[in-house]
Amino acid sequence: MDLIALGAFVLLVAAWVVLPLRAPAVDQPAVELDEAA
Amino acid sequence: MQIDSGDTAWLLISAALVMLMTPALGFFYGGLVGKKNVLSTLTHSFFILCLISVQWVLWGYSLAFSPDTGAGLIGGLGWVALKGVGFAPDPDYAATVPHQAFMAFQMMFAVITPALITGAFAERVSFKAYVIFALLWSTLVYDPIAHWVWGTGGWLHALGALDFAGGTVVHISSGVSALVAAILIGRRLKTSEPHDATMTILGASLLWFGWFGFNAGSALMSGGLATSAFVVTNTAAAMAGLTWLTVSWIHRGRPSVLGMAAGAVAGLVAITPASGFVDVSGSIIIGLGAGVLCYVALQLRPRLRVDDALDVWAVHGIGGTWGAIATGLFATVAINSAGANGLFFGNPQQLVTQLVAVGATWMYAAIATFVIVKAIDLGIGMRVREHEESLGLDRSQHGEIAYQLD
Repeated sequence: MDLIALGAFVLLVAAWVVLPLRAPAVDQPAVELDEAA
Repeated sequence: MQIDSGDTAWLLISAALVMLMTPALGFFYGGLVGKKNVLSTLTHSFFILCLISVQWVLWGYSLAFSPDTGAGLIGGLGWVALKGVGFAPDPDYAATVPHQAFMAFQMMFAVITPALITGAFAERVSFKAYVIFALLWSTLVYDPIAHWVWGTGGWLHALGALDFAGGTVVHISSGVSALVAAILIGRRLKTSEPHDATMTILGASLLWFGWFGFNAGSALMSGGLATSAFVVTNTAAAMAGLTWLTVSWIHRGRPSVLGMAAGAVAGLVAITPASGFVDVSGSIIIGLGAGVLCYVALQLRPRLRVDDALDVWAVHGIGGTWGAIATGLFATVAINSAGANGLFFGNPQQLVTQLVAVGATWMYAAIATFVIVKAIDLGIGMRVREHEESLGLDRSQHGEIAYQLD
């Protein structure tokens, strides 16, 4: 059980290293800060 | 029996921690609904804190915990209005704290359980119907199941089912009931996007904080067992949050913030029945399983076309089921000599017992909730009218709004 637990955590960490972040859609409007605020 | 001041202090503080979870749940749910239904969603939780606090001292505690009436199904009425529930400890439940302290701790569990269901019918249920539903459900579903599992003479208790802090009593019962209620009440006219993710993250954080009282308090004394429950609770929540975030990243291409919060709650749900029986490696595997299974269950919602608005079934029904089964896999008497070993520690019978407890809770909660919702619907109707739903429940049910933004 200890090895399964350790292996699961290591796999998660490995996933964060290799997973790409999907780029936002090109036509997605940027969120602007409210200048008046 | 000698009262222990340390145990009593810990149990009363734990009761206060669990009390905080119900308004925290209101914020967790409140952030997920549209802004015209925020107050009504918060009210569902705050109202039930008031309602069940009174119901519990009048008859709820007696039905759940007073001596069994004979068949292991329900307690009697001997402790109505706390008659006989005084300051001397009751050794059947907690030998070192005043009986009323144990009663107060259990009250907070009775409060939050029906509040969990409200996420299923958010944004469309009539307040008047909700009031009646909450009272009937607590009396006819929660109190009997609490007696089965935790009451002296309860049949699942006698069978040897392990449920340290409420996997069956709290989470399966509310999660399954949520699914049934969502099916019967029907879909919203229009679904809404979460109006304030920050409110939901704050709610999840406060839930996590309160859960230390929920699980570590269930040791009913301060000491090693409470410490172990505290550690595995935190570990499972963390692991499930990390897992849900990662699975959502793989599935959707980005790590979901709301998903991480939901995952942490799923981990807290899953570790609840196991928290007094498993070690830290068991808690990591339970958290991992909760993150994956509850995420998968949540993906079924659009396919099933059931509008369980805030995914109570996916998180509490499935998370509670996984936790109850996992207790039968990973429990060890090395953590709690009053418990039992699970399958991986040489006792396959415990897994069978856990499956019986899970099956019985699913069936009773589903059938009883079906009857309650149908009866209320026939009597006064569960839903608000269409124009009231379009206007939002804050205005139509309470005549107030959450935000004055002008």
